[in-house]
Amino acid sequence: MIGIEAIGAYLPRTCIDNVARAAEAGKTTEFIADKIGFHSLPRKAADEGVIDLCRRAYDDLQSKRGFDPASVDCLILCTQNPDRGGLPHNSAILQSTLKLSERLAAFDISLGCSGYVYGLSIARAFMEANGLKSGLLFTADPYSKIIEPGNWDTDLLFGDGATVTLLSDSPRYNLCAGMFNTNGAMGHSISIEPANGRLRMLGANVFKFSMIEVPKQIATYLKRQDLTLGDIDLVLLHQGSKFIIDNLRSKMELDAAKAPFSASETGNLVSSSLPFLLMPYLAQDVPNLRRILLSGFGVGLSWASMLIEKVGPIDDIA
Amino acid sequence: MTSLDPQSFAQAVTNGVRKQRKAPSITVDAGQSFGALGLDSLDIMNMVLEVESALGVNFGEIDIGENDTTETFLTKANARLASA
Repeated sequence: MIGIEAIGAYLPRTCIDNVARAAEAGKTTEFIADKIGFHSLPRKAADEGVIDLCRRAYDDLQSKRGFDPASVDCLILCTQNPDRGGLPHNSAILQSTLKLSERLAAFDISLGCSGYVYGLSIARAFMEANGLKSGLLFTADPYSKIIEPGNWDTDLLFGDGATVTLLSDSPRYNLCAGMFNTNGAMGHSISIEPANGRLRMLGANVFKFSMIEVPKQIATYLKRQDLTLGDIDLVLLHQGSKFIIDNLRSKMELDAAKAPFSASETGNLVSSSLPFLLMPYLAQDVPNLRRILLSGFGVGLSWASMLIEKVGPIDDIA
Repeated sequence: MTSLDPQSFAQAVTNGVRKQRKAPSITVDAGQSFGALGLDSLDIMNMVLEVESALGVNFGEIDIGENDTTETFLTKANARLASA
């Protein structure tokens, strides 16, 4: 069965200090630090693109988990802000940039904050259907390309970054069937303003959607899987903001250890949010993490949940 | 439902403000802005959800900000419900 073997990531070194510009944004430093929760936001260089971010994430994966590039037979890229307008599809450019084999399937998928869960499910289905053994799922959505500077509904929230997940038939975490929902009628809540091509977000809509639909989907999903939240060791929620995570925790009666907020120095990384959050747990091989729930939600509006389950024995603490 | 009962609405708002401010005895005048009551834009989002939950209604897309008051919130809420 195809599952997750390792994750690599890249964040640009240049960061915007969100707390320092609180007054400029008409906010208090407490509001930025304690409620939005994003203290700083990584920003790519002006001449850096999706391909550059992905290449660096790939280098990180190679340094952590050396693997034979010639063995990669599937490459998927999740982005809604591709280089060159998305033509050619950026996954094909990546295949060439990374000097990967021509015996490789490559395609892009267009999704936002639910993209990682979709990407995992698509990758698994596609690879298993076609007998592929080793895949790379990239996520990179540099929103700095579309943010209107000084639009504080968005300018304080999003960071640039990229991740790559190595998927193989000898995984550390298996992928369970996911659950997916869409409400296109509310798609204007996170969208591109036609007049200027910049990101527009209706925060109240997004918050309400997050508070109502995400807990409902997770409850429905766990019921379908014949599980409860008590059976889950770690709940990784899309890091939309600290405020959203705090309130989701409260609604679902989860503590910070079980449903962490870890994005104070990254901001909302869109589809890279969940793999970036998951990465340290894989790297540290944290014991007793059998079941991890992933929940991505945002652009679409789209929301998706999936369990991943550790392969092999678990070290129980008595 | 075409319009909300003003008294029930005001009580739901008061309870919502109290919960956000973690101040169970705070009083809310109908003309007092939510900003003046110490709520920021995120608190207000939560307060609106609390009011919806308490009254069993869904305002759909409603834009309530720091300059709004219980009175203007009620007006906007009734307009939303009437158009639904």
